[in-house]
Amino acid sequence: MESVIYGRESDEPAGERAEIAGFLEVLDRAGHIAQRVPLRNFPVRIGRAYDNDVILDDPYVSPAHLRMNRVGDRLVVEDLDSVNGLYRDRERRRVPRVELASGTELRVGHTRLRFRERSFTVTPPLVDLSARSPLLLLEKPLILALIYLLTLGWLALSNFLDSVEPLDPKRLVAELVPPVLGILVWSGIWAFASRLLTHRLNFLIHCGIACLGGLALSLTSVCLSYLAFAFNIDSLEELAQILVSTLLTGTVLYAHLRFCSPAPPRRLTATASILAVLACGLMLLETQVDRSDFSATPDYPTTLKPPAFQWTPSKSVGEFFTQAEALRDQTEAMSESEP
Amino acid sequence: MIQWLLAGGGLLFAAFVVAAPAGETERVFANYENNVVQIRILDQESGSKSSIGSGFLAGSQGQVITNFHVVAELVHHPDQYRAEFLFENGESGALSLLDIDVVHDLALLKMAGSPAHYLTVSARQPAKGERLFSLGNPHDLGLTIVEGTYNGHLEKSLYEKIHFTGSINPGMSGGPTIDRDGAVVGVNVATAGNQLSFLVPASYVIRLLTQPHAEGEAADFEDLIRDQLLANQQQYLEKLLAQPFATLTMDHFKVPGRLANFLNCWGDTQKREDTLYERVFQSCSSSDDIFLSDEQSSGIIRYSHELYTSEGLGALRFFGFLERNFQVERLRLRSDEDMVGNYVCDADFVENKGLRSKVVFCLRAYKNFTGLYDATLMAAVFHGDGQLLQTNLALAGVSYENAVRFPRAYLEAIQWNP
Repeated sequence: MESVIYGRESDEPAGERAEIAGFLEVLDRAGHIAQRVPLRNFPVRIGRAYDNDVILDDPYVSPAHLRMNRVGDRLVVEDLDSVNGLYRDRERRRVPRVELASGTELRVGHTRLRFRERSFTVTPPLVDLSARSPLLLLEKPLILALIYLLTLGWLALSNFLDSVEPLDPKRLVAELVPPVLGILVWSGIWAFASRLLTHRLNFLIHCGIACLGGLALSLTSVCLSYLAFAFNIDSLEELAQILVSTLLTGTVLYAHLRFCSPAPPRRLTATASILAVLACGLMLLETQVDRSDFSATPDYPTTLKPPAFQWTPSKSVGEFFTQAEALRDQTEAMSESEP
Repeated sequence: MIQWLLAGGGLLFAAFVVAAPAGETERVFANYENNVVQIRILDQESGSKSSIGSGFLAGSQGQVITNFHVVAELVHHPDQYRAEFLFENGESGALSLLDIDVVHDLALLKMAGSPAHYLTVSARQPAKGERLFSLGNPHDLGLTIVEGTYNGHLEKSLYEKIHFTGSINPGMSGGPTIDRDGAVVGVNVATAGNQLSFLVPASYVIRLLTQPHAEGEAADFEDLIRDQLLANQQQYLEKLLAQPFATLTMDHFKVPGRLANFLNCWGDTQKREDTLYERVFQSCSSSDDIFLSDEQSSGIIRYSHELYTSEGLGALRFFGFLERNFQVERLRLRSDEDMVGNYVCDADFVENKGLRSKVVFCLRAYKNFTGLYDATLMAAVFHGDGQLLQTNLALAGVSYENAVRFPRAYLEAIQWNP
């Protein structure tokens, strides 16, 4: 934010400069500093007119509203018979004069002013995590291009693996269109949000995030499916998919938010986590509701991979059916729990 | 497919008439029509008809014979329904349930008092081609007589039936089919359309009439049904398991073939020009089942084999395709939510005689018939990266012992024939 500093010091030769006695800060509605004026030569006149030392652009402020003066070693402001008067801090009573201490707040018209002494101790600096964030890699064109290529390659490969027809390049390209359109629309929405909140589109970056997210979701889902087959844990696969996709969705949301909101990372993390956990909860709820409903067919997800991926020993037919004994009790529970 | 003759089922009229000596049909109808009743299952509260069928007087103590499927709702919900007979002349009264033969789809009911006349039931086997007369009340249109011919017993059926060539229609279920002397030869039960009709042989009616039955209100028919179903499945599965499975060969795989003559089998080879795999298909199924309710049948055995051979697909693409195919949802058996619970499944890798497979076994229990289960088995039998045998088996209404024993024998029968 650019702040214009109005003060007499700029007109004076450097040698005659008085020492700065403190700063007058003009605050905006959110409490952020809109102007900061060093206080050097007294008296300082404050008002809306252009002949003031500090000009306030507020229609409720009088042309000459306040005067600040040194009284002994203190600074005092007094009301110059303004229309709307002078108020101290959050008090509701109009006052003719206020003795300033560091941090004293004043209200004139609709404007908030704050006095700070030079000796004011500022808070320790925040550690800038964003400078170290791997997300900044997304700003490098080469890396973005690599991500796009990888995504297109993966899409083409998985389409190819899902087909049982001889390879047809024309169809392979045609099948890329819907997912690519999806990514573009998704990124477009985020870019629009970025433009609104940070005045930058960041469209290519949002595309990169969407591609990376899609890649990660797709790859982990394939890996989980192979793991489920390898160790015969098909029944756990669904839960694992939900948990992993929650984690990845949260990460993707966080990355999108980082490039479209100036809010601090901690708040973005919280937002992304809440959204992802909410989505995860809904997915879990849905599977539970499905399970308790009556189904005419068995509801059991099964994976099937080439036999080389079986990493757990086989049972004999006898062992398998002995182990199936447990089903008997489960069916009893299933048919008794319902009216 | 065979269709039950409940009123409200499909309309299957045929315009075929068997020539009969002049006046004979009129005589048969006139002599015996007063032994046939319409049977109505009425809602206790509203008194409106829930289903209708036919029945006939079969004894001096007011015994009435009909199909089990006509009175099934009364059996399952005795508090909600009651049964009533209605003669063609308008005379009506209450019926109480006396006994059931659920396997052969028969029910024995009783009306108050002793009727002056009733039909005799004959164990005599008619000659093929002999003229028979079927009586009943099709679609609630009034008492009807249908002429037809006896065409022997069904050979490929698990549940013995007479093949009757004549148009029996919904609503005639439970009505008698008689010879020219008025002796009951069979009970109308089902049709496959176009004059292809089926009767329950009279021998089962005689057994039902003469066997001792638990009389009175207290008789628990659900337990009776369960015992009959258990005995029936034990009998036919025991027979199947007593001898080594008949096998057939699919490439190098030996798989269970037509295990008994009551099973209907068919097969096919599919090879589409634009796909890089071949599918050989074999399937067997019992052609008949036991009616339990409109949504649930029992006493079914069904299995199929699919041999997939890759033609240059590569292992990842081939198994990607096979995985989409390998879904237990395919093993559909008709289900009545009131009768069965949900399936529970177990999956594992199984090795048998050098063949490795991934097996999914699912089980669901009947709610009212304790000790009865539906079982499904699905297995993917591996042979390298270029071939896979997928086999599916479904059994409806079996004991737990058989639900495990039969799939086990089935799985063990699958072998590699180098």
